[in-house]
Amino acid sequence: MGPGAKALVLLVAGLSGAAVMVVELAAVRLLAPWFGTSLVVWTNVIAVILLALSVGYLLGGRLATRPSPLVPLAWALITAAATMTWLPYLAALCARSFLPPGIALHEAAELVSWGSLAVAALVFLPPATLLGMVSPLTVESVARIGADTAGRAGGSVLCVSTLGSLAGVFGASHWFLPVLGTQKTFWLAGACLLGAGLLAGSLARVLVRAAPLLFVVALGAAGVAARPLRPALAPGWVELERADSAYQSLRVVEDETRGLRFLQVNEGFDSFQSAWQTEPGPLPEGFYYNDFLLPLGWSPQAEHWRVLVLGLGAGTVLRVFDGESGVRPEFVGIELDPEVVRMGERHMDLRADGEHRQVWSGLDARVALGCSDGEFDQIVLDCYANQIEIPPHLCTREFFQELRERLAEGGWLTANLGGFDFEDPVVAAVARTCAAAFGTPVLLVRVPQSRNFVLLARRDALLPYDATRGLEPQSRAIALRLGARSLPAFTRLVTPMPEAQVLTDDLCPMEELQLRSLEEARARLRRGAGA
Amino acid sequence: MNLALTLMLGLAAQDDSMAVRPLLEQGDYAAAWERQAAEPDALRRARMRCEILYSAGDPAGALEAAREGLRHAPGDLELLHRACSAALWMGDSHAAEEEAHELERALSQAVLAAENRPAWEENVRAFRRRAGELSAHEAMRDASAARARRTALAALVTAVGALLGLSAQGRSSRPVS
Repeated sequence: MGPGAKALVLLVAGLSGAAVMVVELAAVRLLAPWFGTSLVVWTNVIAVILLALSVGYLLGGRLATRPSPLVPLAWALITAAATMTWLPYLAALCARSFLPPGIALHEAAELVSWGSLAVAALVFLPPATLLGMVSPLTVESVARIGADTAGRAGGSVLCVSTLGSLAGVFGASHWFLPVLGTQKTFWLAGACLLGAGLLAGSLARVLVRAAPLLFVVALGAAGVAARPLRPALAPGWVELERADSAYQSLRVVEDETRGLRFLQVNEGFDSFQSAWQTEPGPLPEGFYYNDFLLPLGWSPQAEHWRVLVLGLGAGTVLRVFDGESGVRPEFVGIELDPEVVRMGERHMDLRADGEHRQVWSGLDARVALGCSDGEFDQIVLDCYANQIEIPPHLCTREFFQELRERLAEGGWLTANLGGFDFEDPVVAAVARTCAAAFGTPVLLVRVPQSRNFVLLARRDALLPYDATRGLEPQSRAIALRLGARSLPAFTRLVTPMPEAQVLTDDLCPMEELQLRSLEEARARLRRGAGA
Repeated sequence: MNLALTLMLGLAAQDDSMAVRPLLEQGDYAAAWERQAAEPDALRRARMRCEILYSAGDPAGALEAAREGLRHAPGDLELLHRACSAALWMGDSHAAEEEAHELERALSQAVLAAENRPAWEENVRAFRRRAGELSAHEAMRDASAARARRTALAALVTAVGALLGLSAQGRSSRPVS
């Protein structure tokens, strides 16, 4: 075998390098509908794949001592290709067995950690081990074909396979996952590995004994027919659309009995990103979006009202405001994920352009804040990632200072915070940080019949709150709109404290706070209510 | 306790919650809260507070108010009923079981009009059934987490074992060239 054969083996290394990265990135997306895509899930998947690759390297090194290393290389690649088609189905099957239906968010912490690790270990260890075998086998093959030293052969293989990985990373993130979806991305990785395996097989002349190989290929092809399972919907709910975007797994579902639609993200638990009802205006009690109307209620004399919505989702905030009579607000809405906006247009009556409104998608909220013009009477901050996590750069003192600067005098910041009570680690830390950034007290309002809080802060103006009487309605109409929020148990003023630890761009342990929030909520239930 | 007294107490409990209910139905929680705060009798105040907080969607607060009321009137069926509902709403199976048990015990000792008893007994059965379902859900969740933990650890230990085994074999083998 000559230089042509060496190039072909390097091509095999490149193809398998690409496949490894595609699998690594797409693996998290397979788990997303069940466990989300939080840092814990990413860590578990990467850890399992690294462990499997290590085993594969040693195993490949052992097999490389055989007379023809190309033979085990062909087998490893073709078997890995066959498993790829089954991975979407197997991952869902395993995930479903570890995740019972009807799990609430506060029950999820342990299941997310261990469940995602168990599924990753069961499903991704075998194929990643096979892929790990590729490097030593190709190094040995290149060394023998080209009569190279181990160092030169290893350098060539590592270079080409790393370039393949580079292509795999960009391909998976920018094209395969958003365009093809998760399942077809795995099929593509499988096809890539099959091609590499057949190439190695032809070089090793093992294809003449094709029967066992054909069996493996057929087994893999059968996996194409296996439809991945999805988390079950409750009775009376229907799925209207599903999509994989560059960022997340999305679906729009409808509760037919209540006539409400929800946009869900990585939908393993009972949370949602956007809500819709037939008529514009406030949603039923229990939806925090209604609380974003409070500042407008407290400003009856306002002649114009300019609102910046950071984390627009499918446009629920705009729709809630659309139902208000009186002043017609001007909106600038920012949403990171363009697919969310598209789904909002299709299923939730989101009008992305028109008089008095601009919707920018594909932009991070902090970047967009810097790009937007003018001052705002109200900024709505409703940015979440992975169902439950506030992105760390969107809850720091520096960010809140930037928000304050963009508010008109007397303007309002209204932020949605998920949490279980006023002492919730996330709620308390963000409120403390916002108070420090604004340099004035901020107000936490608990949203009745939900696990959300709305944080209110004003630039250079007092909040309508009295320490003894609570929220000051100022008129009977506002009092009735406030409803249960008038009760003392539903509000808390948070004053800036110089010695208090706040979240900063330099140190913002949001993932840890979120985990503590879930664990503390569960611990409270275990201790028993009222304990 | 005679029947007349029991009926009177029952009506009193209803009166307490009825005193704030119209205000709650209007959404005027501030007025309802002021109404309970002005109530001098601790039991009546606790009943009203329980009603307000339950209606406001604060089951933890409602449970606390119900328990406070029960300190003044142990075995009060209305308060126990609210406590059970609140515990179930919170998804707290231990509290729900406990309150359902208390309600059952109080019901067995209560003197009720014959036509009211079946409805109360049905209530208790419903609470116990729902508390049982909640416990079963929690047990299933804990079992799932334990199974996931075992599986993950077994798979990882196997992989690490393979790693160590292969590594040891590598050291004992002779060089090929």
